[in-house]
Amino acid sequence: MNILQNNQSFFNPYISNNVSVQRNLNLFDPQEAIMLGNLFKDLYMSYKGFSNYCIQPMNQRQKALLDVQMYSFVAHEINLYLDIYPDDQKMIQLYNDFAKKAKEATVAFEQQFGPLTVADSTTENPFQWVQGPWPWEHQQ
Amino acid sequence: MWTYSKKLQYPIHIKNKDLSMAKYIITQFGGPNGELAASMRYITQRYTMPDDKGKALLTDIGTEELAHMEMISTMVYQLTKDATIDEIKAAGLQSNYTEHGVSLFPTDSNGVPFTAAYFAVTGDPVADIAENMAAEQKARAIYENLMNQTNDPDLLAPLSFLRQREIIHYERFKELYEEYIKKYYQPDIKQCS
Repeated sequence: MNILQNNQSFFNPYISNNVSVQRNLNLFDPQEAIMLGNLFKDLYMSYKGFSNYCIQPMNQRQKALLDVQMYSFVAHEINLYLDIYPDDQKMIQLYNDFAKKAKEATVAFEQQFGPLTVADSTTENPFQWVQGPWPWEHQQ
Repeated sequence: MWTYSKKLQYPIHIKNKDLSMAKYIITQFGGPNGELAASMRYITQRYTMPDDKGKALLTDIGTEELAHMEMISTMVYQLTKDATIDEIKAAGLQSNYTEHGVSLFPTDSNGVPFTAAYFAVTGDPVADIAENMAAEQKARAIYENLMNQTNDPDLLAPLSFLRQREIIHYERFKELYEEYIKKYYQPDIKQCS
C-alpha cells in the first residue's frame, strides 16, 4: 500500500475496511488473565501499592467453575478486541480456540454439578435448573 | 435477547461481614458511575451507532456490565448477610434498612437512588462514545477509592478485577472514538483554485 492510498483511506474510510491486519499482541496466559481481569499485557495498569490477587478454588466445584470462567473470560476479551478489529485473522483463530475450550469446560462442569444455562438443563425430575447454589450465594 | 448463565464472571467468596464497606460499594450498583448505569447506557446507545463495530462493542460491553452489576450485588449481599440491627446501626445504615430491609436497592453511597438520567444518550456517536470513555475512567477512580478503604483480600480481588475491566473498556471505546472521528469528522476543506 503506498502513502497516497493510505491517505485516501483516511479521507474516505469506507474503502479501508478490507485490509487484513496483523498486529503483534502480547497476551497473558489464561490463568493470569482471569486473575488480573486483563488479557492484554500492553494495556495492563496496576494500582499503586496493590498487588494482584490469586484465585484459590476451595473445592472441586469451584475448580471446575474457574475453568469455565477463565476460558469464557479470555474468549470475551478477544471478542471485544475483534469488535474493533474484525479482520485480525490470528485473533479470530484464537477466539475460536478459546470459545471451544470454554464450551468443553462448561460441559465438564455441567456433567458433575448441573446446568449453567436453562438450555442445558435435563428433563430430570425435579427440574435441575431450579436447584442452587445460585451465583451470589456462599458456595462451600 | 439475553441468556442467563449461572455463574459470576469472576469468583467472589467473602468470609467477613462488613456493613460499612457494603454501604460504599453499593454505589457501583446504583451510583452515577456504577455498573447498572454503564450497562443501561451502552445497551441504549447502541441503537444509534452508525456502524456494526459500534453496535457490536456497545452490545458486548453493555452485556459484560450486567455481569459486573451481578458481581457488585453479590459483594453487597455477602457483606450484609445475617446483619443484626446493632450492626446496621453501627454502620449508619438505618435509613436504608427502614426503606429496603437488607435487600439490594440501587443507590449511590449517600443513599441517592438510581436515576435514568445516568443513561446519558445524545444520539451523536462521537459524543456518546466520549461519554463512555469518561464513564470508564470515573468508574476506575471509584474502584481505587473503594480499594483504599479495605484490607480484606476477599474484597480487594474482585474490586481489582473490576477496576482492570474499566481500563480495557476505556481502551476499546477510545479505539472506536478515534475511528469515528476520522469517519464522521473528516477534514472538509474546499480546494481553491
